[in-house]
Amino acid sequence: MADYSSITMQYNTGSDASPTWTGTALAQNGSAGANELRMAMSSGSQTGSTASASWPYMSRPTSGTSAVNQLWAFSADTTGSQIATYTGDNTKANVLRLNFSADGNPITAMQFSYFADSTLTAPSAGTQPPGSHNDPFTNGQSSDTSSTAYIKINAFDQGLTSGGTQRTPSAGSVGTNPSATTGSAGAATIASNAWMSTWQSAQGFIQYISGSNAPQANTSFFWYFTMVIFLGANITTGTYTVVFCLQYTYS
Amino acid sequence: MPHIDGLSNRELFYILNGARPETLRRAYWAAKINDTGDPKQDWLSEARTKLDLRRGIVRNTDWTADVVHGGYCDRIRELWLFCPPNHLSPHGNTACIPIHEPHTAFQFKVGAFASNIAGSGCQRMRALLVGRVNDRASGDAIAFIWDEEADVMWEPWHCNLRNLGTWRESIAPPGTANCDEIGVKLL
Repeated sequence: MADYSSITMQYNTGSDASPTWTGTALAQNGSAGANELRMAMSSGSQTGSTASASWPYMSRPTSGTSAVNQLWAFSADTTGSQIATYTGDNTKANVLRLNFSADGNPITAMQFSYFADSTLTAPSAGTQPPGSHNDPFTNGQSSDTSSTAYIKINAFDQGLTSGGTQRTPSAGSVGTNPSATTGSAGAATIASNAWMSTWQSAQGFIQYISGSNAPQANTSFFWYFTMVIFLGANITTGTYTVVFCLQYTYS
Repeated sequence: MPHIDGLSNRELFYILNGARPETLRRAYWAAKINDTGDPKQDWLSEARTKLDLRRGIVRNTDWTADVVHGGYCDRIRELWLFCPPNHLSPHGNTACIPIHEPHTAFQFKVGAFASNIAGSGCQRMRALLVGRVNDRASGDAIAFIWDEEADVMWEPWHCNLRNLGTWRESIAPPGTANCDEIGVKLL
């Protein structure tokens, strides 16, 4: 079978030095608060048993920008844990990873970014409030983010090389700490056996991360990545569910 | 240029595994590898299933596993794309690419894994491409695309397997194709 039978996103429930990925796969097609990543501020009232509908709001800064400093993973509506290594900056390496099964035949490099929803409509850079099938996080805003997205991403190599070598990061920092204006047009290509020095903005496939070539076929692997989410004084308020999208090709 | 006779009802019935084109729920590729008059000898079709003894499952015909590893890439005469009914074509679409040289036919799909922050995730096919390399030195090619998200079959897309671009903004340019996996031999 040429498509991967299983792709899951896993989060670290341990420390950066001793990550724990076992049993943390976010399955597909959950509903009613299940299988969610939720963002929050440390000043909020959220806990590991807070229901999705009761998840506390985050206040945007009165001026400038600030990083969201907590990320939580929920396997059920009221069953979740904080991803301790998501800190809202570049100090921790082991935060998130994609887990690929051993039966895929990728034809080209893989790409990932964020979108407003599952329609994967291209964001409208800088537009606040957002239009249909857009959201404020991936649109960004001119003064807050120089019209890049409020979400910044980084990846460790492309996970698996074309020759079949698994790339796994060590604990520690991830490139240069991003700011709210970090990001460049088009694809930011991964660095060989390293994190990218400069983070990328996650603005659909307007600004995104790409591998360098097709990973080896029929080989299970992990692709390690991380993110920093910003808020800004000019971000449109509301409730949003942005979508992580990995694009790949297969025969 | 080879003459394309089209498909007989008998061939179409075999290729689509008994389904009528207007009842398709997804797109499929099919490759003509022979001209005996017996569909079983002449066609490899993704819509048909086979027993995979190695994995112990029944699966659809697979391009890499069956066409490429089966040694059929030098025998393909025609490459077809069958698209389901859509908002622009209620009876579906069909495309046929005549293949003039061995190892110039290709097929691949664009897939996506999408996972929400505050939501669920899913894995899906975004597009299915069938194509032919027109210049093996440069990698220039032409392809028909069934775009699952746009719910249309696109007009012929001029591309290059050494640097695949994109046909619309929401599809990231895939980059360089691994031609070994799709059975293409570039110079």
